[in-house]
Amino acid sequence: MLVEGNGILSMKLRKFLLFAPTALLLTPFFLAPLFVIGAESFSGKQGAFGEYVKVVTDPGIRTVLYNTFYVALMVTFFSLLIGYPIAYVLARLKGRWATIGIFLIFLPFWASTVIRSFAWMILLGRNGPVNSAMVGSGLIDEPIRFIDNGVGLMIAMTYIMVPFMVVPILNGLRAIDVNLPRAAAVLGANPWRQFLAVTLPLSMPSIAVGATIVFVTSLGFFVTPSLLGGNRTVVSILISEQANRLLNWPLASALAIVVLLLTIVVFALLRLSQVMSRRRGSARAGALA
Amino acid sequence: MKNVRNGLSRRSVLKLGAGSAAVSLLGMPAIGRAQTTSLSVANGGGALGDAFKAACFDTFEKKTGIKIISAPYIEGARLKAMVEAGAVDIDVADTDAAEAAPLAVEGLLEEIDYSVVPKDGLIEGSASKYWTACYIAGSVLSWNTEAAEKNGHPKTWQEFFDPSVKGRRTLWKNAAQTMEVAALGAGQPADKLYPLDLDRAFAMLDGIRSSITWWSSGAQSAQLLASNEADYGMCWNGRVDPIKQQGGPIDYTFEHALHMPGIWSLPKGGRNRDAAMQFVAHCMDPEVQAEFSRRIPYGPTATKAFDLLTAEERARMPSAPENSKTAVAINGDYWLEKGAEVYERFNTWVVSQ
Repeated sequence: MLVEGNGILSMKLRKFLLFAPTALLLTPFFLAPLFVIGAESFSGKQGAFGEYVKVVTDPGIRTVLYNTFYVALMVTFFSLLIGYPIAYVLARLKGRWATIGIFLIFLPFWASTVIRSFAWMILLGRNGPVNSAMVGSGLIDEPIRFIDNGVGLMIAMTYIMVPFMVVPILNGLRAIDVNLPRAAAVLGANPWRQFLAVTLPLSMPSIAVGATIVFVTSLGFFVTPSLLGGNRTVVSILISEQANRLLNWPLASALAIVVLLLTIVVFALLRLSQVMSRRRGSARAGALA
Repeated sequence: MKNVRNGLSRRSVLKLGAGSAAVSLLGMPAIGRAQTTSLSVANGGGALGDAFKAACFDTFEKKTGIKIISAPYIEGARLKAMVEAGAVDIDVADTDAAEAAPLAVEGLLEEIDYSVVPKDGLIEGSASKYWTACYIAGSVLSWNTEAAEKNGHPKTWQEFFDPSVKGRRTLWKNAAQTMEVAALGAGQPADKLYPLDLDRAFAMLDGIRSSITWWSSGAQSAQLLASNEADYGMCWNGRVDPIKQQGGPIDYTFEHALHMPGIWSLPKGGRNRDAAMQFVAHCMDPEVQAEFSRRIPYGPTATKAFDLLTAEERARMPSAPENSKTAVAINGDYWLEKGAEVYERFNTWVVSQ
């Protein structure tokens, strides 16, 4: 604490100023609307908490909320499973090949989500190419149903979300000092051990970033679930129906707030587990020392 | 935006003259109205928008000098937000009657002035307090013709909901309309359809649950049938008829169809109320409606319009007298009163396994 009082103040001021652009953007475009939605959610006909009671007790709404988080979780898991190897290969490409690789990852963005979701609907149909190929080759006898049970929805959403997983992980992998896996190799670790003991733990923060982006974005998908969701209704569809067709804004708002709160809970738990594992890690390091 | 603004500034002087001339011809006080040089009309766009433009917008502009600016479809939530914020930039909106019902109850729509809009000669149920129907769409039993050649197809909603009839069915993932056809499937008579017998209707849905593929947009329903993802289903006639006309493997019947009025309504607080009312009146003209129906297979509400259409053209219109003998008009008041409850039950049914 060698810094004088004045110095601390100016440090605080500087931090505040750095935060100002974010605050200027978020206050009118995120916090204020959120406040309006929050207020709306308490203005229902069944009293202040009436809509929340409904959200919690209605079995249909509970299933819809479960579907939303289940689909988002599955999509995050499969995006990671597919995205990590892609990022790993891309991180090792050099020069022009790296540029081409990244270009290819972003190529699907040239078509809108509506068109890509429609395309999946056709691809995964009972007479679509996927089923025709599998039935034709004798792999299966009956076409698999993809689009009525949410399986096709998760396939299409994973396809859309993989690039959002690849990019942060790619950045994370590129930031890892190439000498670290080499050092592990010198110490006798085989490539698999090098990956598990050095590369994977060092890329964990970027995995967390990618998973966060994919999970939160997946919670809000609308077009793809409306085309491919089948009986797996997700909350965005329910909110739209309440807001547009039934004009029940209090219930639509309460649903939005509940999803937000549940998301915060999920991330608080994630953060907690990170802190805990870091503590365990440092405790172990201490014991070793 | 830029084009619109340029268009206005360039022609505003001319328009002002033409507009006030038109208004004075109609015998209305010119003050305040002469300023209306354009109306913003929200509509579904696509083939519907093209038909509106050719039949309604261009002819209105020619008659009155008031330019119609076509705006994207406005959902209920946006209309409510717009009216409550006092920033009404849509003068007339095309929606369906079921969507307009809750808007009317919340006082978000202007009352239609039937001293300006002619209500005589319109099909019964077309002239509501807060909207006037300008066309009738049909929700019809449709099927893939290739699948039907092999296995036949249901001819009534009772057959459609008979679990022993094989095939994949596609239905709208929406309580309104789907519950109506389910109730018809349960044998509820068409003339005593409301109130819907929900227990029997849901029992019908239970019976065919595993063979339902849901659709959520008109384009999707047509795609599902054309690709034979589903063998038969309930679709909007405006979506399946064009595919049939182009020789696609789809056919449908107007027997036991549901009639849904397509309507004009005025968001409350619009600046151009009087010109907007004139526009609605213009759209009730039999010639305008006949021209509209030639361009998209939605039927007129002005009965005289049928005289202007050929038998071949009438065959594609849900509201033509020969096509509407067994049809049922969707009851907007029922959905207004019971909507929340029935939607909740329907949504719960869909997600429960």
